[in-house]
Amino acid sequence: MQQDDAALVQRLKARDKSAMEELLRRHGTKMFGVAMQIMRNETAAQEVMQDALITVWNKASSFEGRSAFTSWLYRVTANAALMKLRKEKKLEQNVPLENFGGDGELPVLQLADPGANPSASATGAELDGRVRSAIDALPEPYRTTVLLADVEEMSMDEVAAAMESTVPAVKSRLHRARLALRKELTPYLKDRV
Amino acid sequence: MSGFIEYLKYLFSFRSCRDVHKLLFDYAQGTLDPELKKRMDEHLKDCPPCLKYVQSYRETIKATHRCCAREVQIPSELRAKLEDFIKKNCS
Repeated sequence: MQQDDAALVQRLKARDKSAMEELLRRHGTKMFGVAMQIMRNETAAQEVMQDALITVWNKASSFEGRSAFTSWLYRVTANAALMKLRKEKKLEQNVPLENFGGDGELPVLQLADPGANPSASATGAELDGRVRSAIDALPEPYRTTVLLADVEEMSMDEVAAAMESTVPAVKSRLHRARLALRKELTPYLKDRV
Repeated sequence: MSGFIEYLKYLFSFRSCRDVHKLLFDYAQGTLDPELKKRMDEHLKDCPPCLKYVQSYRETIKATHRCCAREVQIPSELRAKLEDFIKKNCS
């Protein structure tokens, strides 16, 4: 743990309110990034931030330092976002894999602009748009799994903890999500492969 | 002993393009057994379609990260609201 974060954790455990303000200054941007990735909406991300801050305030004493403090913090934030999605019934847990085609692949995703010419190599901005659309078209919990693992680069253990799932389930979902994204994006990545 | 035999069977299980699909996740994650990785690398040298498949899988991961992993600044108005939230709720 970073020296500065070690001191911050001690202050949080001592219920020092100014430590929460320090936490927001130091790690708020990344926490907000995680919340926005999952919620895609600033109002919802604000609510997630509030829930995450309360959790940090109430549970800092249980942080044992086995993982980096920042990992714990982002996991708390991701978990708050997922709780909110569940409440809004946007996150269906345990989507049966047999729903996804004969050979275990996800169904072909439909991009926002299927009329575009996939043979044309996409510019950076166009490619970004296509990637984002493809990710957003993934069913839950695949979308969140990709966001946490491949965008936020959380470890399999961290994703499993945040999603209250198991590491094998996370690996399976991540692989299937990547295959679906690959299928959709390969025409646009052709000049890069 | 039976564990060792199972391990040998596992090592020698890599035979075909089909195995590339089975092992792709661990290969891309860098968590594949070193001996199996070596076998897969050898296969990829001689199999352009599999190589292309693996490259496109990796490029998809990179594109996903490149597109979405941008730092999002908290709008100043929202930051003020959160600071206010802390003052009111953390006591």
